[in-house]
Amino acid sequence: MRISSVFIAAVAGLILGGCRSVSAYERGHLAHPTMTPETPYAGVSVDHVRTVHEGATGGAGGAGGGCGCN
Amino acid sequence: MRGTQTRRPFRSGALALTALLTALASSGVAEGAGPEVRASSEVGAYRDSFATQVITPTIAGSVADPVAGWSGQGRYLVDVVSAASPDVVSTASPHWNEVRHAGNVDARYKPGAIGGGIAASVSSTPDYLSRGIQGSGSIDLGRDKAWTLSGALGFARDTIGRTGTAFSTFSHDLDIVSGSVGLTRVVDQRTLAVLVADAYLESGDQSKPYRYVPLFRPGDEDRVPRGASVDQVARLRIQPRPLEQLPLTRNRVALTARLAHRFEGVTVRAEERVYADSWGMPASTTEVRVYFDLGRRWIVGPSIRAHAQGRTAFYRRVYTSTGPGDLPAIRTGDRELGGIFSLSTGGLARLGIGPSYDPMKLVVGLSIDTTFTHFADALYTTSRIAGLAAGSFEVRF
Repeated sequence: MRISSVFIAAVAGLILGGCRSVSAYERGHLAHPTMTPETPYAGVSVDHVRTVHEGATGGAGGAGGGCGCN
Repeated sequence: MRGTQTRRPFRSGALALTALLTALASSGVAEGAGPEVRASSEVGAYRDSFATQVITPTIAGSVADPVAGWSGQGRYLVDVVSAASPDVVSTASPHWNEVRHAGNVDARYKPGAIGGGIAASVSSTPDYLSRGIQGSGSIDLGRDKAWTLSGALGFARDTIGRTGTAFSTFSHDLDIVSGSVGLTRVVDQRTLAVLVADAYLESGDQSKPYRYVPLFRPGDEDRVPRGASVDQVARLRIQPRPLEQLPLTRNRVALTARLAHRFEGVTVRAEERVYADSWGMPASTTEVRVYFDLGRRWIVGPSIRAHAQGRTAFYRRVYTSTGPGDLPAIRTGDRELGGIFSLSTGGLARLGIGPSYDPMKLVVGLSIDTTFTHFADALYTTSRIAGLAAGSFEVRF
């Protein structure tokens, strides 16, 4: 939990701190398909499996269906 | 039974779709003509040490015009599930098969600094129907769009029933209101930072109508160890074996931080998610992914993920009772509501097989994930090993 808190605080610091701006023509590296805000190339199956298998994952509905996955 | 019968047609369908996509891409249809169109298909296969197997064929398509700022996409998948988990065996039920159909569509429009979108999803099995809708919006802030503030609000209704019984005869609803707020920051020319807060407000009875909870005499707790076998439980449990009963509301919150940095030919991504809910479950999920560009045609991405969660306040390995008039009001046999530690490793490989001027126009992909799960205090088992492999084919017209 301590490592989690430190990482989240560091990311929050990066987001809220500083005033460096990056112009559109400087964003070549950021345009790479692996630099999306969401996880790139995420398969649909793995998300559903984790929603079923981890009580703390998901929450958006659709996790159910019998008990075969449990 | 239904699952076994449907596997072959889905495989044939996936092959036919792949052939069609290849032919269309090779013919150069819509080359350079306005919006960018993509299509893909994926077949996933899951298997675990609980004798559960799932085959998941998926098709998806999208169309987008980045200049005009609009996009739309849709996806349809089928899960063919076959299971004989300890939970199924403990109820003396036969091997269990099920088919799930799921689909989602979404459309987005962001012509300038402000944009919005709408999405809808549905998931259906004979005993579980889920449908949801979500609206979202985002606004770019600051000089050179350094920040993007985004938000979403959704509503889903799950109808939970029993196989072979019409929803009108037996079912109960679970309503879920969800919301999220996110802030994305371009930190520098190579670094992106994201912070997202999610909340889910669930109301309704989400107890599984198949899940029976064994009860034991007071004082027998120590005779029912972690991982007690189906036979041990059957020998020691008392006669009442009520259905699971969960609390009728659950509020969940999560905070996720992501950091992505682009080196020369390598992207490193780290993600941390902390979670808490009104059932008393704390959780932490940590994930690191690295993507290597190997030339112009290959992307290889190993990953590792650790998930740890504490038990809900009402979870017990052993519920005790003195008889039918003394049932625990809240009870569950769901080991996923207990303490869990899981470690996943795996990765993906993507190979561009398009023409030399645009190799990623056609992409074949393979991803593999293996997960070891340790159940801290559960009946029937102490661990599970699961593997998930998926092959995909994508084309950009």
